[in-house]
Amino acid sequence: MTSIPVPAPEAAPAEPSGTRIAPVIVALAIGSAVSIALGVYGRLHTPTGYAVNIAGFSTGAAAKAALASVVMALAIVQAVTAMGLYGRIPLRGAWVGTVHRWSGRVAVLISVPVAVHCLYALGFQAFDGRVIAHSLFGCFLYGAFVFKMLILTRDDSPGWALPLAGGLVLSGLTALWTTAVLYFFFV
Amino acid sequence: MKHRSPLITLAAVAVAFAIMFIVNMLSGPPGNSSTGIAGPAAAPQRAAAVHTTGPDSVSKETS
Repeated sequence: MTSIPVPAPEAAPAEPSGTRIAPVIVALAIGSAVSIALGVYGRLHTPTGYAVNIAGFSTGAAAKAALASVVMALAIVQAVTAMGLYGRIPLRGAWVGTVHRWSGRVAVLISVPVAVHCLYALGFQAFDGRVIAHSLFGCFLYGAFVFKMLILTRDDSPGWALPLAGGLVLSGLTALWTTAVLYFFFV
Repeated sequence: MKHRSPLITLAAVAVAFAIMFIVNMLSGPPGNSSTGIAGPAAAPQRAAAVHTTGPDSVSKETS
């Protein structure tokens, strides 16, 4: 007489126990809503063509290019320290996490005047491919940022969620910088 | 366990956005403190704007 093997119930789930996908979906939905809201505001708001300048810069465009470049440099620091935190490169010590967190905070705060200038003075524009890409990536960046911040509040999100969120933020910022600052300096 | 510091960062960014928008709304259009097109020629532009801004000035000029 042969017995039929019955799989153990605990062998079925592939994911580590304790992780939940629902908070990731909620965070993604909220981030998407933020992106859409920024785009709708930028489209409906009548661009003023001017905004408050930052002292020391000759033009608004120069101020934005400089600030956006600082943000991009801090984002590279973020990427390197994140690789250290995940053990991909030999960076160890408590300072890595501290540098990662503070470089992110400073980067996003520096980006605010740039984003407000874009939204308030220029709005969401679509008169050529570069400009529509820049407008879309600008809205995308802050949605991805909100998504990442919400993921960070939870310990029970899957292991891939935080690197995904960080990757989205870095990709959005790189695209944003490329479609504006690179164009400002080299074209 | 929930971590609060990302929410504080989010709140700080939202407040920074709000402050920047309010500052922009309260500040008037171009002087030397504005971005965009205004540069050394800002003063003559401002003088010209007296005659061209708003429907009131147009109606005064035409009446």
